[in-house]
Amino acid sequence: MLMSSQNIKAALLAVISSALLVGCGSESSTSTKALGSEADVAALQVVDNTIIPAVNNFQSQAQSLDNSAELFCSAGNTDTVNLTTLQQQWKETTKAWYQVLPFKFGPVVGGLDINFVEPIYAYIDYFRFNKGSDNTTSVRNKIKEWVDGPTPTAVTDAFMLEKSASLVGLLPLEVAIFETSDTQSVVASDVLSEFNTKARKCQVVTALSNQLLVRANEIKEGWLVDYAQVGKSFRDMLANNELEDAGVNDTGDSAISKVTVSVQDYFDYLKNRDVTESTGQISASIWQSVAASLLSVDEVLAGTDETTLSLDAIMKNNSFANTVIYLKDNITTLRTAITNENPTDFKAAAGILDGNFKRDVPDAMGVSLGLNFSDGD
Amino acid sequence: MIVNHKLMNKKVTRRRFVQSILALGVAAPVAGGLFSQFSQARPAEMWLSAQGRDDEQFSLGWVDPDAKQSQVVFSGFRGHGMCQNPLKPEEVIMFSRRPGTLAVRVNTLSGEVDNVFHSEANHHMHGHGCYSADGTQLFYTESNYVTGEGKITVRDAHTLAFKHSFSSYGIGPHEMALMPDGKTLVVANGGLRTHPDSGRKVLNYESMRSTLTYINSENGQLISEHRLAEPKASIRHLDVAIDGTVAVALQVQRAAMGDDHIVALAAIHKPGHELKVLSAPAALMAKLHDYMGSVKVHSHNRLAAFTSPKGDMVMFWDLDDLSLQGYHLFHDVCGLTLSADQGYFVLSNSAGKIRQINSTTLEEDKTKRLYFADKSWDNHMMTVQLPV
Repeated sequence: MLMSSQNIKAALLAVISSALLVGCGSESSTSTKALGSEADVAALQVVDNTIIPAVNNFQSQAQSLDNSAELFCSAGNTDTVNLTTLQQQWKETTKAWYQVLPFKFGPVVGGLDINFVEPIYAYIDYFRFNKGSDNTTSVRNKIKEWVDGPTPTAVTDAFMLEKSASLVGLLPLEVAIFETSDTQSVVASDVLSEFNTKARKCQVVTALSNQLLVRANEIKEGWLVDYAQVGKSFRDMLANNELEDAGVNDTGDSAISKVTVSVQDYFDYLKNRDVTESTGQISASIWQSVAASLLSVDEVLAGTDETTLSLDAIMKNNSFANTVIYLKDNITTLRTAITNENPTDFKAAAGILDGNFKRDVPDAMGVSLGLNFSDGD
Repeated sequence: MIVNHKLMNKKVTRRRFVQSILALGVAAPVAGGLFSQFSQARPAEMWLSAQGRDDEQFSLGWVDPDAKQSQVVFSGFRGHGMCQNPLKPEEVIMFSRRPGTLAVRVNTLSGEVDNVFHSEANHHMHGHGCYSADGTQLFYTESNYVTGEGKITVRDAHTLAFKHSFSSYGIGPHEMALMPDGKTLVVANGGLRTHPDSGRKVLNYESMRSTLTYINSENGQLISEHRLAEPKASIRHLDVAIDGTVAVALQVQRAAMGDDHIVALAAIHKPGHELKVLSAPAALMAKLHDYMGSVKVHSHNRLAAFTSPKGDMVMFWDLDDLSLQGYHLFHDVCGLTLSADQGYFVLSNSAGKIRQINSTTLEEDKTKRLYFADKSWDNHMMTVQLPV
């Protein structure tokens, strides 16, 4: 049925005006006011209850790994027991990293000029940075070169600090700790024997573990104390909506946007890259690592014991209880693929969750992650 | 400030807006007008953009940077690009986004929609067009979705009646512009075929062929065609400098590629030369997620600005030595224009925010930030300056 001519005229005059709502510099500096939406309040609780604890744990595990390396390499301690401890600690550190990995923003990236500096996470997990390209062979060659010498005269912390992101981080440590540099034997006695006969291998391991600890410290410092040398923590700048004005490389989007997009990006990564077939292979530990990352995702949605407003609660309150249910179902499906160590099912399940976090979660939360971002032309 | 809450809450009213105009034979005159509703005089400068998130919001919106106000006129469809009549600068056309079939003409003096037109049978729009130099003809990009052929449709600029069409010499023509000679059209043929029945789904990933074509607007004859080395890079948007240098923004169809190598997303074409891609450090390029959404040339400063909403970034290259001059992060940025005085690149995003980057220093002037929380600026922005 057509409108009357009067209504048509009214429709044609449907010109809506709006005054400028917020001018530059007029935003409040208190976190309560700055975080106007309940979605952002919930996201900040994710930051406080999940992300920062995960970052703290990763730093703690990296510290333990460095300690284990120092102990293993100290005189008289290069033995089977300490090698086993060192290898187990590498696995624990990697699991801790995977709990941080869904939150690839802020201090995990680094806030520096990406035109010139690779992001911090690249120095920990180059596979994640390098679009899933496996550089195990080049890492093996470089470690063999360092172990065999004669250059550099000694493999020190300072030497390793100068190395590019592709040559440091979890993969080089895995190569150095779990296999021999000559034959890639993973037999513990072979590995131990090489450490005892080639002193420089211990130099490599301790320098690499130190380098990893440096990066873990940077991430923790950025989240809690000083981000990108601006004198404030990323957590507080995010809470107070100060990031766009802070002189750091940040897009200034909201906390809920950062968390949701980052988790979605993580599942996109799992879907598109051969993570379970190309990483954590020498240590045979990748499945437990990716399983650990799901604990972070669980907490993003359901919260922790400390959470007073979770994403699940908001979605249910918005009449999207079904979304909460099938998100759980889809995570369960991914867990099943992990339990069965099935890469095909794993990628498929990750792809579904990628879509969930791209569309369903924002819809159910009542938030927009960006019209153009999701639907450009 | 007038906010018509009643209309905002009447979904059926706006949904039927365009349908009703069409049913009445178009060109419904409107009493009153936009600026009669405001106490201040009409603005000398306006930044126009399609905006809105759903059928109830889709409109042509504009910002008055001096008054720090924004206004909309509802379209009933999601708009994309716009063009301004050089003969009647108050007249602006907003085209629907691919694969839409509607366009509206808005009189920016009165704030009225004074005409609506839709694609000919079996055709859909691609969201961009331009006027002839004398303002008598309107050109815009379309596709015949039966044959897949790219078309340049020509309408009478006054009546908007269909006159004729000619080939774009490619598939999926997207943005187009008139060259400084006032006669030649430059067309970005994205190379991608779609069909309204399948929405925005690309139907020809394997055979896609993207070109930049120059066409004689008077006789529809092809003058030249140019391609990039990367076959899966879709030439989608463009802008032209006063010396005829054309800057093009690209979108890589990664789904059709067998690897992850980084592909340039911007290129320059100068008359008599081949397309040259614009490079940047890999770490920077990797952030763009294969997508540049809009491009604007600053002829005097010899700069080309490109926005990437998927990379949350605007990047600037020198038009002549092709070197990267800088970049700026801004969440979901896509809208891109120049202020009327050419002093600033103006950026918009889907959150309703506006940022201005000094076109000489390439630094943001934070005192010029604007935020319209009820707006969601879409892909493109255009500056309109009206005679005072």
